[in-house]
Amino acid sequence: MTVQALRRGRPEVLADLLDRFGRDMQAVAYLIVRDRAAAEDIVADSLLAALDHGRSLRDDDALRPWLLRIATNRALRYRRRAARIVELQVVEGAVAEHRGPTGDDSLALWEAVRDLPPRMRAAIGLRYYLDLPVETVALVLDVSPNTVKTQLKSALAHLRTALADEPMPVAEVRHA
Amino acid sequence: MRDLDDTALERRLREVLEDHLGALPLDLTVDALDRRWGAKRAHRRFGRGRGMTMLAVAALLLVGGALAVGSGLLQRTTVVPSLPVPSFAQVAIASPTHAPHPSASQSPSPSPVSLRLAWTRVALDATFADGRNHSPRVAWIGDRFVLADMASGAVRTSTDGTSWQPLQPTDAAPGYVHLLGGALTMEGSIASWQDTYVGLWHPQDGPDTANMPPVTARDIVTIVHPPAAPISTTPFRGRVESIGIGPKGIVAEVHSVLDLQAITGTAQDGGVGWYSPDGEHWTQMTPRHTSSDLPGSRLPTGGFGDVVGVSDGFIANAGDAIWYSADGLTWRLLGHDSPGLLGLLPWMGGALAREGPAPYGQPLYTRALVDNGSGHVDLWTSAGLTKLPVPADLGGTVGTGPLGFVAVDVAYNDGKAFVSRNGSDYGSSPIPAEMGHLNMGGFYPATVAVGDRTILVLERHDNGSDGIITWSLWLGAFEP
Repeated sequence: MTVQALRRGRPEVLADLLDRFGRDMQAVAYLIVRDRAAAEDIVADSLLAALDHGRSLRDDDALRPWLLRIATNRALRYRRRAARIVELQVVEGAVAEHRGPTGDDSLALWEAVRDLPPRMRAAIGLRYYLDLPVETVALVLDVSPNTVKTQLKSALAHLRTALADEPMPVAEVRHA
Repeated sequence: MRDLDDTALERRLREVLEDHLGALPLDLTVDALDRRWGAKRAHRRFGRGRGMTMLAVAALLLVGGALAVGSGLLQRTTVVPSLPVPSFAQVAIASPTHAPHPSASQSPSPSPVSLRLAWTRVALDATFADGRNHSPRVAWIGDRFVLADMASGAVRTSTDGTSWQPLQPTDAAPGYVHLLGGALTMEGSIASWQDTYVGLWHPQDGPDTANMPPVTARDIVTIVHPPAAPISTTPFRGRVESIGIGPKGIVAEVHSVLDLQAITGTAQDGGVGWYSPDGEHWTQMTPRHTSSDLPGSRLPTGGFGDVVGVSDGFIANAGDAIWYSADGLTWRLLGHDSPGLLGLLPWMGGALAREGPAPYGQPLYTRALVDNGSGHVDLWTSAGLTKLPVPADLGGTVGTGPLGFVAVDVAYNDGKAFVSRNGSDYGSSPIPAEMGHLNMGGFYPATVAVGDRTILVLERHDNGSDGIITWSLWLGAFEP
């Protein structure tokens, strides 16, 4: 029913889309842009774009990856624009947060995820948070399944290495 | 945690992601969405928020229609006319010295011409057809079509789109960077040329390169050069976010923290611009990280979006600002385009800009230029802005080449191809249903390569359920 309404461009469908997919879209967008407000804006923008172009959705089962793909692409584009000028700053107090095995593993792992390249973060979120199969992650990111596997493997290697590093100041990227 | 095996690390990762992402509050409400939807519709209705009233729109349509009828343009039945010298007579040209924002087209209706395209499916061998492990790309480069699989490195060339030969070493040409750059995006966080971006780091730059092929600016210049030419003078390393090639040489913007630290003594990754007349000798632009966006100010290195080579220099966008350079080193502001500017596409000696908000779900690697119903596209030249009228239903992926401007829309409008030789006369023709019906959700726009006699459309087919991906190539030929 939702897909049919979407194909007809009926704005009433927005409530259902937001309810069913909004948080998933937000999670992936947030992982990419690392900004809650921007992620929320991307969700809204993506849902409106979906409503605009719903008639092109031919496969009912593809709704979720289709929406995730819209949000992912918009987040990547947002980040690309926002990252034109970035400033690297040493964040006070970051030493204590960026602990290896002896520190807070959870926080260290989260920080390591945030330090991954954007598309790798997207792959991580789609695979390990939304629990999508590799093939579906590949569809969303428009890469081959092998590429997804390579990215995930590489990401895990990065995370393992980052967590094992000695405590050090963290260079946080802040958008100017 | 170094001792964790992959399974344990994955389990821990799921927990951490759940802790942080699952706790994210989503404050977006249906009411807020409805308001935005209403505003978006009103925005369109009233001329994209530029103060254009319905009365003005109606007046423009009446005047434009009367002019078109009076000039006999609407009666044309030309079948794909020969390529004329581009004429900008009926469109507005903005003064380059006043940083203009695009205004409404002075000619709201393009002239229709009849168009008959015959489509045939070109047989692809397994190297290019199997989408699971291959990433084919197609482009018209110089005097032939080039089909490349970026996973295996296989390259075929064809002058007619039907008969294909393996790439010969002597075939290397500057344009190959175009094809290669577009293909790189497929492999993850790398990218770019024109409407995409190269984002793969040089090994010295840090961890991004783990398990990735070593594609860097230096590799791209290798492609730009004839194979035997030296590349040792290429001074930069890092990821190339923008590269434009034209009659005046090459402009590239490179991002590398290491480069910047060495050059500027700071850790600000604002990008470094380079110019080369020949791909071998390079001059660095003066680093500049901000721009006032006022006439006379300089293009901020690091501010490039896309850069394209045009007939008399280069045109680049930095956000919605459009810049021109005759020598690749000194830049002047031409004006501003839509804030949603997606990219630039070389055509008719200038750079086409897509107007309007970014299309939904558009893969970054495609050369998408979707009109989105605004009724025109923007052509920027060193003289300023020219607004070219396009059919109201034009959409899809655009390619430009010797035959002109071609848009192939496999997802919308029941599938159409639009062709213009001169930016004012447009013909449209239906495409075979088979070209788009397997395209999952319609969100994989096709790649369009425009040759001197034929058009190639490369399509990715995805059944959306079992992950089977295949590619198909279609040849469009003009019928008399």
